Amino acid sequence: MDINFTQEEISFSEEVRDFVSKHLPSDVSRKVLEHKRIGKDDVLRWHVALYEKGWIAPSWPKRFGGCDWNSVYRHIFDVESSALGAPRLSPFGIGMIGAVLMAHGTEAQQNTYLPKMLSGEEWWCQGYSEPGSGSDLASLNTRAERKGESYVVNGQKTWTTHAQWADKIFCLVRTGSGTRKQEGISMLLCDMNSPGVEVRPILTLDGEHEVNEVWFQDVEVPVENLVGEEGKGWSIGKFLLSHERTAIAGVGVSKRELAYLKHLASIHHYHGKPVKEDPVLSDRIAELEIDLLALEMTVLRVAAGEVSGREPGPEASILKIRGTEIQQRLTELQLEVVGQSALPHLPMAWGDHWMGETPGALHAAPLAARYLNTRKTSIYGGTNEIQRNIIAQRVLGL
Amino acid sequence: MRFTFTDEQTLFKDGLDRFLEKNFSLDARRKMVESKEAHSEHVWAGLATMGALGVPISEGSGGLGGAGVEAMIIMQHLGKHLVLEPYLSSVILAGGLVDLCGSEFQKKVLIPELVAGEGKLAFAHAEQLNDEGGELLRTTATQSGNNWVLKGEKKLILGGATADRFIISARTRESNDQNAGVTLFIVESLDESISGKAYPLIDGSRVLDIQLNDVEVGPESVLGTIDQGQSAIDCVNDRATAAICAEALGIMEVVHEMTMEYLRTRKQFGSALSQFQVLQHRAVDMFINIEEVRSLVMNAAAKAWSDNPYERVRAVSAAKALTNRAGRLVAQEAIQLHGGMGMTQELPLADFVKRLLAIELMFGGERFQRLRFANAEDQGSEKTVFVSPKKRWKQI
Repeated sequence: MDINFTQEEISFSEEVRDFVSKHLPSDVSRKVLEHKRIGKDDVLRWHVALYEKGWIAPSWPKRFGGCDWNSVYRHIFDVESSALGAPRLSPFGIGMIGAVLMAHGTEAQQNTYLPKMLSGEEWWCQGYSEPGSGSDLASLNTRAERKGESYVVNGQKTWTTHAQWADKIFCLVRTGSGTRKQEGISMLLCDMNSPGVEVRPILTLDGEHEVNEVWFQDVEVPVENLVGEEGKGWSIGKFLLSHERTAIAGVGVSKRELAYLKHLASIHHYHGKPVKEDPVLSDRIAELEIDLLALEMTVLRVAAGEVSGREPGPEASILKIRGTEIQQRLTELQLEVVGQSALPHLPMAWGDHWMGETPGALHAAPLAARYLNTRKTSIYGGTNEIQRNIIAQRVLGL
Repeated sequence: MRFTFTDEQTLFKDGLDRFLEKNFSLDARRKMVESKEAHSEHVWAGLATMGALGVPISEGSGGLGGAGVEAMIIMQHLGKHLVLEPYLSSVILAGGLVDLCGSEFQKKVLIPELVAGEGKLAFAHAEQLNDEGGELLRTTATQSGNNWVLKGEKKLILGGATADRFIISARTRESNDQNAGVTLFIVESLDESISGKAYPLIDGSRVLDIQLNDVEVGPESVLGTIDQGQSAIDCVNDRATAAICAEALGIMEVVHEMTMEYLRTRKQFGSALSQFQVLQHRAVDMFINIEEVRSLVMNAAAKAWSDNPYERVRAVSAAKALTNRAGRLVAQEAIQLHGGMGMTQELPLADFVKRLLAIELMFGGERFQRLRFANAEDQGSEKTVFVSPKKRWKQI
């Protein structure tokens, strides 16, 4: 056992820091660090910078244009770039459907979609959840009927993140029926500009437009856009859940937000003294910091295991649960530290061109909304209750 | 970066596990805690034969040159089997002090005996139990000719009842700084000027309180530099804290497995308890806590032997704070999920839960350790920047 980073890993962190500080647009990093609203253009500029460097697809093999970084390198990249205020890249293309196509797609699909995913020319979104199918995803009933050389899709997807920015959507649809509800599900790739696709915004608790309903009315999808075999989409869809387990913990962003929390605790006061001197709050901050350290070490255990060719052990299954709990606790404590400063609700203050004054502290203005927004993390990607069911059954054998 | 054990470590781990499986049982433990030794010479001798007693002592001092990771492996297995042997007190605490500050002669006398299982040591340090971490030592050592005279009392000496020698911390210089003026002395436990009483802790292990009634020792008894014992004490306390977290991890794993087995076999309302989702989720939370502890135990093991106090304190205090919180959750949930049976002395669970409780209470509680974690300061980050002279002298 040797849990120190190797010399190569240390040089790599330095290389990442150096690149990010030179090439991450400073207005973008400022928005990220100050919790301002991030637009597609902000993400895209960072995406293109990484693309030009050849760093846009960390886990992809080199022959597809990826970096072929192992999971320890990916963790280092996540931590170093997040610390400097890199925005979260869209995960749906390179991280999700790209990985699916490399494993299950036809050569034609790979040639058509992967290069534009890398360059940022085409953006993707994910069509999984439906109004009646949340945790019980396999009950989905958006239908695709084969007619000649096309599937005709009818139904509705929901909670589709950034569908308003997307050019393409990958969907789970029902193409047949079987004895089990998991049978007869297929995965289709669909152009968002196809006639019959309609995107309707859903405003979340923070008042922001991040997720959408996506409606399909007689949408024609060419049969060559079927991924894998017809009726076998469920196992492909699940492939995503086991892919890149370590990223879901969100350690990089949480470390950045912890540093920000400590900063807030030094500039906000109780009875004239910095909040960090309050024994109760400083204890809670220390507790959170220790839990984050445990999470990071767990991520590294999983990552190092992957590097040495082991299947992720049971420890991998806890990453989503603890990672998201920590993200939520960070927003709760930030809010508690700034207190009434976060009361003013001025969404324009976290937009692009705000030059005005805010009644509270400017940095505190987005924190209440961010707290509300972060409640999603224990719901998306399989609720934390579903995660516990999975651990109970698959790991503990209950 | 590698979290797996080397072949050598794995071989040692498996050998230790087999030995303890064969030579230590819970029934035997229950009889042992009633005896005044409260451990088994047979098991101690077996650990010596395996080389376990020399593992975390440096080669230069006569040990096997292992460190935190090896100590973690051993302690995790002592926890798994709930072994009573004074490994922590004799090898890691007292043995560590001899290793860190002993003279060549002291090492030559003490370490081979310790490694062979023929001489046990104990570290006598605590005095006031109501001021954790803040105590100013009251035990004094005053010079009398070439000799030193020790006076005071020491409490809660782990492994004290069976130790052949004590390492005693005493104040040799007046100071209000708890870190200054502390010296370590090696004293024979048979010394007639020492009186004491042994008593059990909540987990059945036995400790000792002693009175030092003008104990006179020669200059050869001074361990390390006079007045400068505190940093070595901090060092071995951190090592022991990391080690006891590994022991707790071994215990928690057993407690969790016992509880899973109970959920799978116990039936109510016509089905196994394991079928109830509310119980499944509680079982999962126990599991998550244990995996988190494992991560920080590994981190502490890797850093507890470090010379960098900042790195050491952060890793060790984080591990102990989390171990305490998780240990309490695991124990409480195990009792609750066992229902009425969980309340009985009869189940083996009882012994494991009580040892977890004892571990929680020693070497600093949850809040205490978090405070220490938060207050640790990175001395290393204040790098001295060398500024070269700017002035250019006129050359003749």
